Amino acid sequence: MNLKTPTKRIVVGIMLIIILAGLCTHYASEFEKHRKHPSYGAILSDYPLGEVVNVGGTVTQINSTHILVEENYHGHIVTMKVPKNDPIIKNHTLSPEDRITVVGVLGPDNQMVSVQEINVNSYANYIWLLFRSFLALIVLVYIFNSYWSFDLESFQFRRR
Amino acid sequence: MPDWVVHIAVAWTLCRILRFRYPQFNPANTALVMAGSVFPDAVKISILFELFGFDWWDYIHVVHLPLGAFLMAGIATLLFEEKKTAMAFLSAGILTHFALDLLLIQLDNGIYLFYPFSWKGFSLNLVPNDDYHITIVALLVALSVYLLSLWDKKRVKRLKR
Repeated sequence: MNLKTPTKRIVVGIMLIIILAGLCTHYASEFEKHRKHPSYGAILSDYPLGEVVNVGGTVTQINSTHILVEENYHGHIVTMKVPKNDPIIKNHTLSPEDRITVVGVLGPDNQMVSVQEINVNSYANYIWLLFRSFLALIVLVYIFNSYWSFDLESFQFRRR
Repeated sequence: MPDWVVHIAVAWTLCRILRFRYPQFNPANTALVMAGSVFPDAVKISILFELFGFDWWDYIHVVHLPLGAFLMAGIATLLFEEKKTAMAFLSAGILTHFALDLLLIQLDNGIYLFYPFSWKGFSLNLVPNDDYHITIVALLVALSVYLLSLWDKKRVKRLKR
């Protein structure tokens, strides 16, 4: 297919965007069914009490017995309680603002009764990762701009 | 995700090594591979939406899957004069991205490499996603390859004289 005329490029671009949007919609509606363990979607609709669930979010509070984890799930703010004295949790140092993902058995009232696996991303590491990535993006834009220029008339990138 | 320093450094390193043998991996095409290597992380725009209270992760996660990333590359390719070249090198970058992301530790299924044809997830579960040691290693390897390329340039110049 010859894509030299702007009209053809626009038509192909729109077609690709429609396919991408279709895939996004399909994924968003289907992926919960294919997860290894149910997550917030199932907790909010069926509440799989006693089942192993996978939940994640930001640590908002740590008290003597529980860690409170908050997540914005499609506009619903959900708070989960994770037992602080669980042997697996004890192996990790947690602070408010850290992001954690927990796999464990769901008890009543959004409470995890036991933890099987946990993944912790500390807030400091997360911010440092974002900062590194931002610097890398600046370098990438500089390098790309050194070898490619955008021609407004043809609306295309050309080699410098 | 490994950070973008890793993605970009690995893309550059691979292209620089391939350039010793294949001149197609010139600096301009290498820049395309480097850009492609961060394409799937367009999903990270959700971080900005999150700041305003919107949870978009699940709605745009497809761009962090191979088919979605290649579709994005296809859309971007329309903005290039040399479309086949742009598509090929952006795609190479996307492949390096997923090769690196496969290393990450995942508590869920991993990456659905063959979505929408299969929901089988893949993950090697080797590296935590905020580990900076991998960044240091990637930069050291890139530096070594850069020094090697300088040495090679000098050697070729000497041979020509």
